[in-house]
Amino acid sequence: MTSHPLLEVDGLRVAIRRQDTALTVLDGVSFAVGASQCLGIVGESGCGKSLTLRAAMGLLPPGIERTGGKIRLSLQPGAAPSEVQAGQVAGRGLAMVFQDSHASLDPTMRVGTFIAETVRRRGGTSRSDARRQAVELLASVGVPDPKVRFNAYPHELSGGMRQRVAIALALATDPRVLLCDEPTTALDVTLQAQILRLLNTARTERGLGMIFVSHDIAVIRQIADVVAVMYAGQIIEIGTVSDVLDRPRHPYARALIDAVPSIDGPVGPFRSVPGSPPDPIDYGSACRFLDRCGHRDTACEGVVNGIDGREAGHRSACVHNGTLAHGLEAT
Amino acid sequence: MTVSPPASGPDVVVKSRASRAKHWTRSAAAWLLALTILAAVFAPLLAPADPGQLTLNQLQPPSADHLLGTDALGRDVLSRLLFALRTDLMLMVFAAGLPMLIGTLIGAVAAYFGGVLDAALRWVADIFQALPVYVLLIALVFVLGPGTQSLLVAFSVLGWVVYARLIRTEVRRVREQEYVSASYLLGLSRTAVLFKHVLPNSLRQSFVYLATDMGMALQGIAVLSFFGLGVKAGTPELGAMVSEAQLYLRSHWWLATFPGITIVILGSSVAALGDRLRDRGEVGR
Amino acid sequence: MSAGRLHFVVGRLAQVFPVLAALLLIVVLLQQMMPGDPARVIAGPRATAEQVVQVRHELGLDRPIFEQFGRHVSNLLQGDLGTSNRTGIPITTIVGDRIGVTVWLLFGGLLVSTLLAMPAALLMALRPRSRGARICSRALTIIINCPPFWVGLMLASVLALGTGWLPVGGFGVDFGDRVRSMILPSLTIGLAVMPLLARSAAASLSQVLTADHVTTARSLGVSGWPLVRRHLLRNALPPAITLLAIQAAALLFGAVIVEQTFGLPGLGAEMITAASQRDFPVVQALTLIFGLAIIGINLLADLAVALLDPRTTWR
Repeated sequence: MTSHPLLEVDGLRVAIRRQDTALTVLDGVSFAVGASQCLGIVGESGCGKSLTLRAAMGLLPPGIERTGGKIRLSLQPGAAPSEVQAGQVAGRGLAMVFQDSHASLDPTMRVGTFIAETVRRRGGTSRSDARRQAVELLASVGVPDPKVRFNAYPHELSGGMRQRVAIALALATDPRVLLCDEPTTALDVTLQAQILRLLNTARTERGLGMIFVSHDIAVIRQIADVVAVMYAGQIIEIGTVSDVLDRPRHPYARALIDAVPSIDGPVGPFRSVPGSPPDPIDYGSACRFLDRCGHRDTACEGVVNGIDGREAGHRSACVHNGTLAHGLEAT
Repeated sequence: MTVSPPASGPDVVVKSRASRAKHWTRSAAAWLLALTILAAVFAPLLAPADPGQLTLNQLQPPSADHLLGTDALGRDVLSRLLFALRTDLMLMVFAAGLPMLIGTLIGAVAAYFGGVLDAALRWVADIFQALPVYVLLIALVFVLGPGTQSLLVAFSVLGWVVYARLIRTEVRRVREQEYVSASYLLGLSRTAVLFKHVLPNSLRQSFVYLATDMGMALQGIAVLSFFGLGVKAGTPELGAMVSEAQLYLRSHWWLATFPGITIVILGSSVAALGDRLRDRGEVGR
Repeated sequence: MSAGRLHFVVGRLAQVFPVLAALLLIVVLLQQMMPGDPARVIAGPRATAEQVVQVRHELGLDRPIFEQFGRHVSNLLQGDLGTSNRTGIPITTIVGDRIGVTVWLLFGGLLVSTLLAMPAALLMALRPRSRGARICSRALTIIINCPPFWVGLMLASVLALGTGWLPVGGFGVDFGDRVRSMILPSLTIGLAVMPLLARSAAASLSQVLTADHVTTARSLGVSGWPLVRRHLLRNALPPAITLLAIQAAALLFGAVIVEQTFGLPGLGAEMITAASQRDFPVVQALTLIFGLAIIGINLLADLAVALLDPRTTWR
């Protein structure tokens, strides 16, 4: 069956505004997520991956604004996605799980009360019913003794438990798409695996669309179906997990993946991507990886755009896309 | 990417009006400060008359002979203003500098020996921080009697704690850093660590605080002198000048206005300089 | 109250005792620090030699310092603050007569400084990069460096002497007069306290507004009044209380300056007058009263903040 995507982001542009200058930091980002599908977004810090999620939610920090692009969200099961205004969809179709569960939960509210209030905001639920649902949600995210934990304050819970609560909160809005902003980065490896399993279960059981942002390739490999690589405010490569992570075409994607030492690969010298990403003020029309790239030539100085992530297949923004692919694999 | 809204990465980028305006006001402050310091240093050369010279030309309006007129005792106001600037600038520097010197020494000694001494310092500092400093300042200056020495003693007794605390915090921070354990391994003595790593770092912070402190000291000195508790009667001082001019507010408004403006200029330009120092420290980190 | 909070309250209360002891000790030591004979000074300029000897004996100044300290404390506990050496009036009476003016001034200052500081704080917190906010921040640097006694005189010369609209000083007898006589002093003290208040308020406001948990609440669809009521206010209340304490302490000190400048017969003016007339017992008692007030305000603020925050435990 040809199903509609749940969420479609079309040409998203975001700028930091100061006085009379606007500095574009997200430059035409487009992608789509379907039901039960997980899109992973990887990239160095500063590439705009968290900003993409915030912009989609309409939760940009002060001084940063969306300057272009459309967000479309399918609000009913089976319905085609329709354009929505930023800020309308937060908690009404889109929900988000943040990295730092310590700072992201209101310290003055008992976790159960917070979840129950969130349930009630959807309307049509009585107080006692919301309470019961909150306990169920806590149980479903694997919080032991949910009735007792209901009355706990965030600071009384461990880091892993807090992140489970944060997921329960997001699920309490009954979202269509769940946005995850490095939700496992602050946790140790065992907890990381548990949380990833939990998110996967929620996704398949509820048919959730999911976007999972991380700088950790190993985590992305575990959870995502499709991976987008972001660099300097653009998507520069997209494809299935095995396509992108095993056969990257863009020199930057290749370098990023190589920077992670693999357990089963041969032990080689630790490689990192030399240089640092350009400052947004230096974003031009040429390839933004130009200065750090070992494969550059004059063709790279022409107009190089980010790619439209809504189209299917394995694609890269590199002008040498086809020709370099083999050479890259050989190294 | 975590987006911390103010002043993260692309701060350098927009060298627009914002930073230029900032730059301009701060260099204006630096020029004003330089000007006031020069005026204070060269007061004896610049002053047209002896600031203590009584004449019968009382309460003259500004004229070619007396650019800012004369006061109720017939003294030349411009000359008094220049010498008052000298008094206040000197008192300000010492009333803030002496506590810094004493506090840094006490803090360094306590940090060096550690143990009981350090604990005692912490205890004393906690108590001092909870005490109402300004009220004690008035009481102390009252007890010691008017005069420069009592002002300096009072400011030193009450002001050293912050600096001692700054150096103590710095010692703890530096101790936890790797390069110190590395220098221990290299055989550097404790004294060397204190002088090479701890003091320079904490002094920078102390100087930032010193700038704020000087502004507060200036205000304190002016207030106390305004009430006749600060400098000895007759000493040219800005607060005292305002006090002497009180009675003639209606007819001779300039007598109270100019010393006040001088205090504002001196205090604001020192504060602006302190801001600049703090910003640099943050960038350097 | 949970065990952790009870622990905090007890711990914080216990912390006050050394501070109180230090304040008392300093107040007693002030006598020792006076140049010359403390008994002579305390007895006052009109006292005869016999009277001085008597004062020395009565006040126990011929006793060891610890005994003096104990005596002072026990006098205080009985509500005895001593007597003025100028007028012979008991200090408790003086305080009772004059505290009203100071309270008037504190409320006036509270009102004016809050009214002046809040727009500035909102501007600096909500639009930190705007031109207005930058101008505001520069202006605060200048205002904070304006000596209040001078500002008072300037305001008086422009608004009172020039126009005759307002009284230059003094404290009227009926309510209307009093309000009118409070306008200039309140304005002066408000201006003096406002920069500190505006800066601290802007800092805590922007901290609360950009707190991660507020973003979380917004991501769950909380907005408008529910966001303010359930998430912003609760978290903004503790910093607001701390601010109020800072403000109160600054106002108390401002009162000393402003009362004297405008000839208001309050506690602060009494302290300055007593100091300039070498009336030691009054200075000593008022130092203690102002000190206690500030310590008390800080204690109350700390306790309130702690009890509002569920995370509170002692250390």
